[in-house]
Amino acid sequence: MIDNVKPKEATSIINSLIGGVVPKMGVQHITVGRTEEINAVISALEDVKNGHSMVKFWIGDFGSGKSFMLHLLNTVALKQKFVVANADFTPENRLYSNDGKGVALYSAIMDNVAIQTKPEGGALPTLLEKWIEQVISKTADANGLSLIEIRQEQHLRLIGDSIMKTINELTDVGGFDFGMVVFKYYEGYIKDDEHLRRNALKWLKGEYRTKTEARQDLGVREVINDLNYYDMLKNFCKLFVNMGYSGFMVNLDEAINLYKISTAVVREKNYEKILTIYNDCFQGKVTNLFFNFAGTKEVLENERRGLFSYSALKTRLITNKFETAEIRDFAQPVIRLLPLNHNEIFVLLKKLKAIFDFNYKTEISISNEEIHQFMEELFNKPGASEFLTPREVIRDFLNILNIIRQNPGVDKTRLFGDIEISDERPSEFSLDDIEEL
Amino acid sequence: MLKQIPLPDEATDIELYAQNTNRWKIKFEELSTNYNGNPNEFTESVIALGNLNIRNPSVENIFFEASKFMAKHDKEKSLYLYIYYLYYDLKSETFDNKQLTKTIQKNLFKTEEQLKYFEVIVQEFVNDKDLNKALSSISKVYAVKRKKIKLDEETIQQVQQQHSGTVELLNEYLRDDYSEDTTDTLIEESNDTEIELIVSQEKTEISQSIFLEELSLKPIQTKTLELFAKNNFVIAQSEIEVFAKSNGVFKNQLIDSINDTCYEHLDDLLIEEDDDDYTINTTYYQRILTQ
Repeated sequence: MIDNVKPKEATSIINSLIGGVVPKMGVQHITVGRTEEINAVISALEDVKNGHSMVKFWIGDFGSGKSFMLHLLNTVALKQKFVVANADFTPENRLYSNDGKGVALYSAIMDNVAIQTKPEGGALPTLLEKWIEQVISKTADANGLSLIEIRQEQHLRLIGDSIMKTINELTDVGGFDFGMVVFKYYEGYIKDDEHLRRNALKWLKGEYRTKTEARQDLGVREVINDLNYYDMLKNFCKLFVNMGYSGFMVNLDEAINLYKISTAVVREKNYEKILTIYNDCFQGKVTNLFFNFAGTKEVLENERRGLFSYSALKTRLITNKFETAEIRDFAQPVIRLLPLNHNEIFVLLKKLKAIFDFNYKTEISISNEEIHQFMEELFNKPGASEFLTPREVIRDFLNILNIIRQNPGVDKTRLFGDIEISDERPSEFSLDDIEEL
Repeated sequence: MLKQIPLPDEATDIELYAQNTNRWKIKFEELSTNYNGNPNEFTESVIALGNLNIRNPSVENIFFEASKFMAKHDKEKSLYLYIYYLYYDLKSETFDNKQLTKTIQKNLFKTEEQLKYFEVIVQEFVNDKDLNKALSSISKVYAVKRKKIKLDEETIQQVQQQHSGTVELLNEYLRDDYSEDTTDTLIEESNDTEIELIVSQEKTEISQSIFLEELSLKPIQTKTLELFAKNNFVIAQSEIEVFAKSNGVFKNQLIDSINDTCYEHLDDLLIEEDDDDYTINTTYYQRILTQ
């Protein structure tokens, strides 16, 4: 039943799930009922690794497992040597704007850049240094210098030329300033100028607001702004691939915040940006780039303000007309996450019981019938049909196992009866109330 | 003078209600206006009023109106009174079978199931005319129906099987030595860009490393780990910065390359970054030593 769970995976699974979060390790052991979705993920990652680009929309309602799937996607991608960045759309972060909200999204993405050895984000300096090291090594080789000698200040020019040359080869738009700034980062390192290095990073993360300021600090003419940040993301993607990474994966959650934009024109411009990304990825204009958007059904399908309100997107994202709840098509750009059914939840709980036993080296006495009884109790609680999520079912189940473990004689029926479920849905104001401007 | 006239007795009342078929409305108006939130009391009063109207041909209307009135206050009593309405309606000359309005029905029945259940009660009552049976069934309309969860052994087996396949597939993609394979291919593909972090090229003799041979740590990485060991496994980031620079490498890149090399063996990070320090997990450190 527990297919090679490692002890530390078991601990991570149990502890994280009791805390209501997706475990950092061993997530594969709780993927019950998600076989098709995972196959789709794996095949998408393989495609991107082989030079294709991809956009996927993960659509599901509260508690359908969007966060779980994105987390799993992250874990697999990091292991597969992808550079991964996660960011949420917020009222202040969006794809298109002319008041800094676009570049704010870019900054959030660049702040969260993660690699396997820095899974929590903040990997941009590491990646930059890794790439510069490669350039240094190449330049030293080409000029017959040792790795120590090449770092001397008099050879700064050589490295500078090398950086500019490689970046020019890689990038299409904005490459000159991009190269200049990377070189400034290196210069800061050689000259021990921490300030210069920080400024270079600040520029790369899109945190300069005025061109004057950037020119004074770094001697470049441009800054990353609402209009050019997407080109910069593509440049970074090429750089990461050049360094030997499999690709660049960007996950954007909470697409409801695009839906909520009250001005129709601005909302449409945001959807237009999604269309640009979509076309770039599927028409092969970019390589090794993987965009994931996550949102609710309303965000996708609402004809008045959802993605379907933009006809060019609607025609691309509309469900395969041959798909039904039984016959699914996971190769589409839109992957609809359906909630786990009772049989799947039952298998998941059985599996968790086995992992729990393994973790605590115990054998909790709870039969299949009792697990069934637990589920029935829970699904009959007031409010269960509206807001009971697998997260809560799992947490309550593990809490009960913990009680039984420590108090073997306890009355299980009474325990099941005592459970209360709570509404954990985000307190969003009704979407119908949004005023249209 | 009014005070001197005594109230009519029951028999007179019955006669009066029979004579004036709309007389009940005055009493009903009084009952509904003075409704004090007690549905039982109201229902009893309406039944009593019904008894006094026993000879009134429009007696059923009292219950129909009462049922409509109670729909706002107590659903169960409203249905109870509706059954009474049917009872008297069935006894009357013509069976009108008046329906409650759609709005009231919507208010009374939140689910299709409740409506269906009530319809069954009504149908049975019309057939058997057993008032007590019908009245006692009313309470079941609103009783919460316990949902049964049906599990299917065959589907469970299928789910289990599919899940095992998925775990196997993911294990393959997440397995510890996976990155080793990829790194190898990547090195082959981009051989010219690969970094060689050999600091002193003259030094050719292989010194006996205290670290696992399979890790193939580069001299600078070994030197860094030794520095950690000397400093009780915690070193300030600024110190590593100086150390890295004196060895001609970047600080972040140095730490990352060690973590990357050891990741396959540990499946976790060896060197963790705190606010100002780098810390080595000593348990992990033991695991990369040769002994």
